[in-house]
Amino acid sequence: MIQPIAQPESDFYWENLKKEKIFIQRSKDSKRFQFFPRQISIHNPNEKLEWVEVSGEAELYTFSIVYVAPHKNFIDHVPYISALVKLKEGVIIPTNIVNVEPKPENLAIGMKLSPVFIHKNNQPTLLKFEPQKNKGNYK
Amino acid sequence: MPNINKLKSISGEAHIIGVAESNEIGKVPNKSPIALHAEAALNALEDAGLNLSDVDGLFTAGWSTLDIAEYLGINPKFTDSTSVGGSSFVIHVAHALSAIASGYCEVALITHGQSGRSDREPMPRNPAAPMAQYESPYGIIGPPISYAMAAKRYMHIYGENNTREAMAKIALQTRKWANLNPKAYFYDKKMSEEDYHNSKWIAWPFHLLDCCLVTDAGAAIVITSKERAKDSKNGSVSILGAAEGHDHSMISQMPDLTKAFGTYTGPQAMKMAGVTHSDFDLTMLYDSFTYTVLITLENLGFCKPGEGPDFIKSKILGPGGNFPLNTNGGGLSYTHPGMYGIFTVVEAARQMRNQARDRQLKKCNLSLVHGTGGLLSSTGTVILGKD
Repeated sequence: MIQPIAQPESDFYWENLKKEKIFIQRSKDSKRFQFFPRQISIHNPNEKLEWVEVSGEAELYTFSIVYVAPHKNFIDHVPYISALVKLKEGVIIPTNIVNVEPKPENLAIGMKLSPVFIHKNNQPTLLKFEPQKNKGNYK
Repeated sequence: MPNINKLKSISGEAHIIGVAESNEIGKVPNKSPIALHAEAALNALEDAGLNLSDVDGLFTAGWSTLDIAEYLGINPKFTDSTSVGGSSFVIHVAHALSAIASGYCEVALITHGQSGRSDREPMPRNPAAPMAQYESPYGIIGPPISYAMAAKRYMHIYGENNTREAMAKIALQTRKWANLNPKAYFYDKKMSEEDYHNSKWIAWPFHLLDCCLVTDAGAAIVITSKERAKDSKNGSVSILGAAEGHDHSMISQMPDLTKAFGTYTGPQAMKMAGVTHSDFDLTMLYDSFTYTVLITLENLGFCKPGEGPDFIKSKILGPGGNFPLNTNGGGLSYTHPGMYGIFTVVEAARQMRNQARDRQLKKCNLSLVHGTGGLLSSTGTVILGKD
């Protein structure tokens, strides 16, 4: 795997993932969310940012099934599912879908997902997602 | 906002007078990437009938012009290392027009050299960039996975079967052009529909034959003022319109996975040149993946969003057809060292100067050249006209 190296503006995000909490930045006045963490609001640079804890409830926005490892550190992991998921709050997050066999027929755009926190030794916790069982899609 | 009237006033003020590849392209393990830059530079200057000492503007991507100028032994008075992915070299053509029209330089040299296949060490990535933090740890690395996720989204919106059919046709018709180009990696290898559908999965929904090659190659372009181009050795091609831009870096930040920035650069370049879609004799689109071509046709306005598959179905893209596309065989079947954009310009200039041999179009007076770089991130469109 490749370890993320947190930066000053993202320390809070990664520290909270370790505690299985998901914090996303929001512009204080307009209440609009943004991902990834930044020093400034991309919606309005005059607005202050605040951190908001979210549930991690999400839907599948798109995916690919990776058969050829793009980097030597992923050779033992193929095939795996790379995905973009849309949080209930509207932001899109790059991630992996886990706990499902990586086959196109097992996945549907719009399917509901729940967060899975992947802890490994002293490494940063990764935020992955799994299908919610027996639940319909968001509209 | 870009000033279209000012842009129109420099339309045609600079001309391409020389284009070339490095001596060999494909598998070239015995030459370094910077040697490929140098070899291609000399070849393009030879085509232009000029010498290295004539060059006063230098442009490159993937490298700093500091390294290239030092290696060539020149002292440029205009320098541009704009590096926004494989589209950069198309954007350099626009920058050269601008620099020449405003007097910064008179002879612009754009160089490219990359050993995607044989490099001894892959290019390092910036570990402080957001991509390294938010995408790489999840194995979202490099173009195939990112473009595949965009293609899946397109299939979800517009249908999987018709999209697949269009992607297959792009791969097959592009290969037919490569079969006419002795420099193409797949010159000797035909492709059947079965070959396409049976090729292995790289990143579903992409088969191997949806993906561009990974080769070693260099290329270069020489551009000069309209005045100086008049007595050029092998003829010249006028730069009539140009536009550039980008709207994200990481695929997860792309505003709409079916619309790259060509939605702006295409119409803007055509406006500057005063031409429209039906005027082009040749369309050269950066084909990093079959999907890239599909949405680029839509983004540039050759058809409406979602109508790409029907448009492709209605055209013959290959030799002898009614919509000549990527006549060199493209990144899919000719060459693709990593940042392919320069080769789209090289081929358009060759077609317009009657240098395309077996694949020469009967009539080629106006070309559209379009580069897409990064992870569908940046685009550059250039309109070229025959004098």
